[in-house]
Amino acid sequence: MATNDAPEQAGFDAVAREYRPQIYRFLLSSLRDPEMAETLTQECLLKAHRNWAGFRGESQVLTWLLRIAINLQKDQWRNRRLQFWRQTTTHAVDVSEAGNWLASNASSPEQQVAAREQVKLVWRAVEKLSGRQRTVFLLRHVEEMEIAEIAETTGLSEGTVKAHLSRAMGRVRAELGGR
Amino acid sequence: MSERNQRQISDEELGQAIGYFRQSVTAWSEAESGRVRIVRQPKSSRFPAWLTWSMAGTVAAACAVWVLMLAGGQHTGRQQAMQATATAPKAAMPAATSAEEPTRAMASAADKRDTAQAAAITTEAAGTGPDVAAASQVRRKSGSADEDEQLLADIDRDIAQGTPQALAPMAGWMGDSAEQ
Repeated sequence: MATNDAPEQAGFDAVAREYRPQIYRFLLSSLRDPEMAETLTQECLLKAHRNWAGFRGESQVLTWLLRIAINLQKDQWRNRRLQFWRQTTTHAVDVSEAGNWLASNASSPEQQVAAREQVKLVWRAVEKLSGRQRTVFLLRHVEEMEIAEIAETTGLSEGTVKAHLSRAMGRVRAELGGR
Repeated sequence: MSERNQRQISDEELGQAIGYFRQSVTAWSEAESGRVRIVRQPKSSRFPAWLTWSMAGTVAAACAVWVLMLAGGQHTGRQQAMQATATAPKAAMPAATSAEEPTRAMASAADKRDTAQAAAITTEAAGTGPDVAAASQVRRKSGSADEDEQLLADIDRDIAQGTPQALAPMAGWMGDSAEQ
């Protein structure tokens, strides 16, 4: 039994190391809460580890992991709604603060300021999106997944994914245009 | 601002903004991943969880017992009240019986008097009974009804005449035959 488990364990360790940053990034961009994103990432990997033996490889590992992460995120939101009477402290970062993070490859200070302003506007648009629109938008433009992969990850049809993505892009465009 | 309101965002600008957004999210994520996190201890209660639950259970059980006792007391009280209501007529009946007792006693005494009177008449007719005067005196002492008094008065009168009224025709017939 131990001899069979060892390769599986080694395989999962490699998977966790490889995909952990992406899971965390998706959850962070979706929740804007570093602590909650860390917690859900841990839960996601724990759940994946428990079900690793049952994973048949019919879908990509990242798709499978992100599906778990999306479900955990839904549960988290549901629990937060139900546990409104508890002291549920959220550490969601403000949009303006989240927009301050920028890669250091911007050439000039003026360009950095302009880029930071655009990032804030996108964050503001993302904040206004519905849960599904936000998930689809982030999977498409942050995780750079294809429409078919997004459909598989979210369990939606490709047409629905395209519709959500189109509305999300319209919102972002409107926010950038100042409307 | 009004200029910006009317501005149409080109696909290139949109793509560039989304590219900056992706870079921003990645930079933030990497920075957060590399940050040393302080593991927060969950808020510890003064009591362990099992003790809290057991205390809550004990309080709930005590409340349930108290409610049951209260309900039982009320039920018992109601039952006693109902029993009292049900036994009230029964209790009233002996009282009524005792109230009727003198009447019954009087009736019984009247029956006894009738019996004694009949016996006195019989014994008198046989000539072997007790003293009729004494019997009539006892009769008077008992305070009988007017009928009894009347009857006794008739008997006294008959005795005083020496011939009972019932024997009067025969006495008259005997007297006539003696004269003849």
